[in-house]
Amino acid sequence: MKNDHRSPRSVRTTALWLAAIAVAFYLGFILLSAIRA
Amino acid sequence: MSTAVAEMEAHDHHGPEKGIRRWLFATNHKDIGTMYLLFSLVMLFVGGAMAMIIRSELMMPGLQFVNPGFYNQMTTMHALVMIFGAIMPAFVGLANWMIPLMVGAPDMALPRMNNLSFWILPAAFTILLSTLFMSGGGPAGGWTMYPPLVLQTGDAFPYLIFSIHLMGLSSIMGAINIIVTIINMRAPDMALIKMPMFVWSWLITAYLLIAVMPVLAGAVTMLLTDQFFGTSFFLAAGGGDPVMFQHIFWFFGHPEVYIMILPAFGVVSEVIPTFARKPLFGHDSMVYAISAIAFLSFIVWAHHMFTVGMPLTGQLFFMFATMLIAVPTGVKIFNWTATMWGGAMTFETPMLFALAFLFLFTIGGFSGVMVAIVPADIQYHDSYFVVAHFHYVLVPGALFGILAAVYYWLPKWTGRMYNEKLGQIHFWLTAIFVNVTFFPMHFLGLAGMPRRIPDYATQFTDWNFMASIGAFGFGLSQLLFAYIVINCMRGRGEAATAEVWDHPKGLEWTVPSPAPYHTFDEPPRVPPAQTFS
Repeated sequence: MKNDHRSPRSVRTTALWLAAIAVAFYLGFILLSAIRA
Repeated sequence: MSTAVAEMEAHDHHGPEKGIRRWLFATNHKDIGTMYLLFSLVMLFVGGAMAMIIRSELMMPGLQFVNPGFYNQMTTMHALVMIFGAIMPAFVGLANWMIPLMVGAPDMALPRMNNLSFWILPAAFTILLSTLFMSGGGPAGGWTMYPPLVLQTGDAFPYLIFSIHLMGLSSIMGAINIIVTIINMRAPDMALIKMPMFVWSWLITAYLLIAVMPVLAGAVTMLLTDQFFGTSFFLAAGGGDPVMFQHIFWFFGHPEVYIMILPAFGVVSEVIPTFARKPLFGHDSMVYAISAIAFLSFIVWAHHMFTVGMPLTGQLFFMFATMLIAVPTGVKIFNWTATMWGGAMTFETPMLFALAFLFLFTIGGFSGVMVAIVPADIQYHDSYFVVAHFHYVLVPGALFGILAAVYYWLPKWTGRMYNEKLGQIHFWLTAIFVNVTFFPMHFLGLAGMPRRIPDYATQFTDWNFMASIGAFGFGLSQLLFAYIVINCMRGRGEAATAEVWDHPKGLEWTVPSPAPYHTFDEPPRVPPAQTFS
């Protein structure tokens, strides 16, 4: 496909960063709640 | 060598698979978009049927049809189904179909994850809806799942928690896919700031999803551990704090409101310029306004819980921060109005829904400012005024945005023009009945009728009767919508041209109607208005 100008690495990097942020928010909120409770 | 090349070329230009495999193993953004949209249509009718049960019960005072326990299950499930099953998947479906077409990408960046994002949803809702048939019935403590009440849910509780986790996972994967597609795969000449407004609205929405869906997941995980694993996050008896759940829930819940409305802003920003035959007024300021709304959505959560008690400074902060949202929202409303000013306007069905959105969403916005005022909110709280407010934001707001989008892009999807006369009839029935249903709820709330009750004092009878009549009319009108859509899908109606409308702007109108299975195999030429210059 000639329109595949994306770099697979940048796709993967962006996706993994976003997933990492999601996991950090999930665990972070549980951790903060545990500290407060 | 020629064989290998031929094979690759054949692979590049293959059509859809045959039969059920096309849908089960779909990686094509158009197929997945179609599945999301059809799924949300089904869920609209499932959630709508629950609304009909609620309105039947409330048509007259006294208990008519259902017992109070089942009534509470209906209010809870109606909200969960409509929010997570109808509105959100509909917008993700629109994103799947339109974002690659609008940014000139050949598909979504992560097509197999896209498949998984979709197929998680039917599983999640099968699990959730199956709880209605369990002993003790489905969850009945409200969609907000406040402890300790939600911990009294019977067998349905772990199923509720699991299905919420699945819905969150689906949303997060969908959001990652959308961001990566927009950032990495838009046509090389397309400037970020100049992207179409629907794409911009979704980019910001996707960031909101990634920020807050994990917070909801964390909150319900903690409910699960409180119930089954001996923790006391929210149990006062064990040193926990039930009010903390409300803070965490609404830290998710308020941005969630914007997740459901920002893509509708994007749709309206596409539809109004086409039918006013003018470019969108203040494109860049619209981007900044959406960004400002998204930012503010993170710092207003406690306005949902003024009545639980908080310091005066807290009340003042959340009140003023909430009122501040009216500023960027006003920017958008005035920009849409300025777009129409002096335009050669016509009023096809998508435009009618966009205009109704403008008027009726603004009513929901005004009642939102009213409930932001702390002393007033303490009176309004948990009354039908709040029910009126959020239904005005979500039905003539989010749902009308979706309906405008479907009428606007349906010819591009199916290659057929919908029946304009039927579309107009659908619009007028919907617009009239939505007001007959929800406007009286303002009066009921101000007169003191509480929400989430199956019975009420007799002085509330007249307005409730009217709201129920409106709801039945509204529900029936949507059958006409399904008929119109199915007709187009079955290839009935006039053939649509590539442009469909009168010189609309955007890359999606440069491909034929229906859009071919594979589009933009080569990078498209971006319209000058969207380039870096």
